[in-house]
Amino acid sequence: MTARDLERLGDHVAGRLDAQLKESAPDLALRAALAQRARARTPSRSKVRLAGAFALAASLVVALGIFLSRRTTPVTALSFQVAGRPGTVGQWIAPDARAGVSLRFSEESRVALDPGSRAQVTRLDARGADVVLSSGLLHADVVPRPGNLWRIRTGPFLVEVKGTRFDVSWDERADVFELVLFEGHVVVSGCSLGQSRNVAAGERVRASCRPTGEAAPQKAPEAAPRETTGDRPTTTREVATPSAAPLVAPGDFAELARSGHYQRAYDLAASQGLEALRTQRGAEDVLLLGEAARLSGHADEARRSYQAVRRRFGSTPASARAAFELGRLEAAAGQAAASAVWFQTYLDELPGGPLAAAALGRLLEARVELGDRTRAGAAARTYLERYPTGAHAEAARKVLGSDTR
Amino acid sequence: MTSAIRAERAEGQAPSAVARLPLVASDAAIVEALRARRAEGGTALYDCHHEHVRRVLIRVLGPGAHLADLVQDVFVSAIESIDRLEEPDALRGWLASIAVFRARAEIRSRSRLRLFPLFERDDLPETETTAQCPEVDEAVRSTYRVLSRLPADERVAFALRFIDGMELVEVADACQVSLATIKRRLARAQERFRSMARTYPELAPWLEGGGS
Repeated sequence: MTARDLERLGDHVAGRLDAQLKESAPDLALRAALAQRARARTPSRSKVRLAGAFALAASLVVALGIFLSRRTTPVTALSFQVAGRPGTVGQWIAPDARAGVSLRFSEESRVALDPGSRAQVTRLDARGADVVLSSGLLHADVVPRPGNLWRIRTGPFLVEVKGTRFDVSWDERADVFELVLFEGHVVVSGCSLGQSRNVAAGERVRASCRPTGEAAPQKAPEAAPRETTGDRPTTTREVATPSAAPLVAPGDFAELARSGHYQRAYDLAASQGLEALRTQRGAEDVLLLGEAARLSGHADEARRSYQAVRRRFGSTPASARAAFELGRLEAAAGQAAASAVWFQTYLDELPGGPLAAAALGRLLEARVELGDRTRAGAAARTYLERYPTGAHAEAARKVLGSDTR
Repeated sequence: MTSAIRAERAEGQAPSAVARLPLVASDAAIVEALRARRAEGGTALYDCHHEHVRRVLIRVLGPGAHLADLVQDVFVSAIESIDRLEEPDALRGWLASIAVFRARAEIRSRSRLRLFPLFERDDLPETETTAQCPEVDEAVRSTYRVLSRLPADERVAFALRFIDGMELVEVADACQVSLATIKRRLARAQERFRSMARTYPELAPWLEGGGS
């Protein structure tokens, strides 16, 4: 097959695809939405700063609030599919006892129900969805977007989500609520958890409405391990109790970030000077600054924050954590090679660390994405040796299986 | 037929005898309108470029893609970052690069899902059938089956060069890499494609210098 043959095949394919495209009408709803979007467009950062120099401080705050709220308004309402078919708000979804079912939302968020679980979507709009889990286990992977509003209700508990990955389960008969958070932050409320309880990545929460049933965020090994959570970051992470947390001034960006208000945290930090915070605050706060930047859509600032942790706190667990976060940032940016380097760095620096299994799994993903079969195979073998029931175990077996075919 | 007339037909109205001209005619005028936060900038951007954006996306991703969401992502991203466009006359190429970036993310997302299926395989866009679409024949399906096995960067380069028919410089611009990089990428992609295409009988006529 010569280049000329490829061009002829390409012409044929293009012709067929163009014929398919001609059948589709313009999307008038999108056209109208783009007109709105153009009107509410966020000016570039430099222009905002220029305008700000000539504005009164108070009016700037108001204007900033207005354009941020506009910026955070997604264009169209979400839709979702259940196992590939259009889903309906208010309809119960109950996979049978042998197979689970998945809900795929139009902005790429995903919710999967384990076999025997029961749930329904009760709200669906441009900002997100409400999902009620009446029983069973639900896996969520919510894409972080500005203005997100996702809520998972189960029994008397409510989980508010901005953009993160977690499992939540509710056993009504045993009166046990359980949440395992892999990425980001969520706020949980209900029964003994009170009005709101912040949960960070790597934490597991078990709670009950019975007076003695609650357990605060805890080391994951104390909770019964679930096959579905496997080795993910939750399994070994030490969780600080509220009393052990550093004191922060009211309105401090770190406090806002801990409570899941990433955009506000980032804005506040930016107003205080990001570079100053990166050079003056402790490792945990700079990591939080990175997280707030990442989840509010400022990947470059997140990268600078994690790099600052690497520079200032070398040879510490925080520095290794920053390497992991850098790996995740690069993976999200589609830079598989760079992400592989950072995940490997984490593993080199903290081989038994709380994120070791996740780092090895992500390293495996990166090498697969790079098409590096040899090193992907090596990562898969190591993974299966160390975490035979881990979250990436099935993928690792597939990699090794496809290698031998 | 202008997109304005198509739009009216799509709404079930009779097409106007006189076509409505877009208020914003050139790419430079569209960029200016968007920067001034005028609504007609958004509609003109869509009218003048939605076919181009859809074409780039479908040629990179293949016939099973969820184009509506992707097209929306591309245009929203373009509107939000219009201040970063240095040369207004380069709007079309710039949109192509945004579409390519979005398509590559979609490809990576699909490959990750195939390998790490939190969800059953039936959900994956790659497997969505195009059987009901008479235009899509086996050669097209087999081409994208082969392409789905290529690394994302190589797949994108291959699709832009051989399916979209872009010149090398345009492919490099759309992928935002150097000409040398795109040449290397294309060479690898061609080699892989040729090697894998041999296992697809539907592509045999093309392999042998024939094809319809």
